[in-house]
Amino acid sequence: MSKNTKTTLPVPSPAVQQELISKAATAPAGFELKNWTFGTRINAGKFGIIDLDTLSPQRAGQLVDGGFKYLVRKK
Amino acid sequence: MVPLIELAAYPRLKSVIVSEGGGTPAPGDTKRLGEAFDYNTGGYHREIDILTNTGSAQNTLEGEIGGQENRARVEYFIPGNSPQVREHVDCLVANSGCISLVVPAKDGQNHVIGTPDNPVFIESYEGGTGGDRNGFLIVVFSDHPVTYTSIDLAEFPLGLTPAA
Repeated sequence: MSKNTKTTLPVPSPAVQQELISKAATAPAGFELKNWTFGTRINAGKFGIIDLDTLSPQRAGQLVDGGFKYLVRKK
Repeated sequence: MVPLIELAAYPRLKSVIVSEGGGTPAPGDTKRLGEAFDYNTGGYHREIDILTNTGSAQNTLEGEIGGQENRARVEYFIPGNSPQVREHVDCLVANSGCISLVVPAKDGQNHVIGTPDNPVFIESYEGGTGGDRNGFLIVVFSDHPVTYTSIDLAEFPLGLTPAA
């Protein structure tokens, strides 16, 4: 009997794959994201590290006032 | 650091974008990226903390006349010998030739080294315990035909968690 040498790479289950992908990014209350194509955490240079999971409305307002273009105030 | 396979598109130069719009590029625009990195689902840049004052990103013209080329070389020291550090080293080796780096400089610029055509390769690493310093000294390089580019992260941020 020949030995079966066929191998396959392990593929994560759909549930695990979903865990690897961050949840949908959402802006703090009173703000909305604009052209946001990233996960929930970004390095925005002079604006620093921005983490949407912990971003306060006050800090979001400072970012918008400072010219950060990926966040806007809801009208 | 980002594996190039996780990018849907690599940013174009600002000079190209301005020219296509009928404008005239400003001085330096051929060295600036004019778009954000476009990530595939699940793609993101990995952060690596290095020891202060141990990093460098050099451009060197190498070779004889007739075969000269630019080589961008990045050297940095990662303190410690933790499993996370060794995992990073293994990841660099496993993805050698398939990655792009963004290197922050003290003057506020962020240099982008490694493109889909000229990716970053690992040249050497040395580290562990028992040496003069506890950590890993790593050297990577890319054979850009010209000097590397920069990106304004305030305008074009880097994603640090997997893109949805």
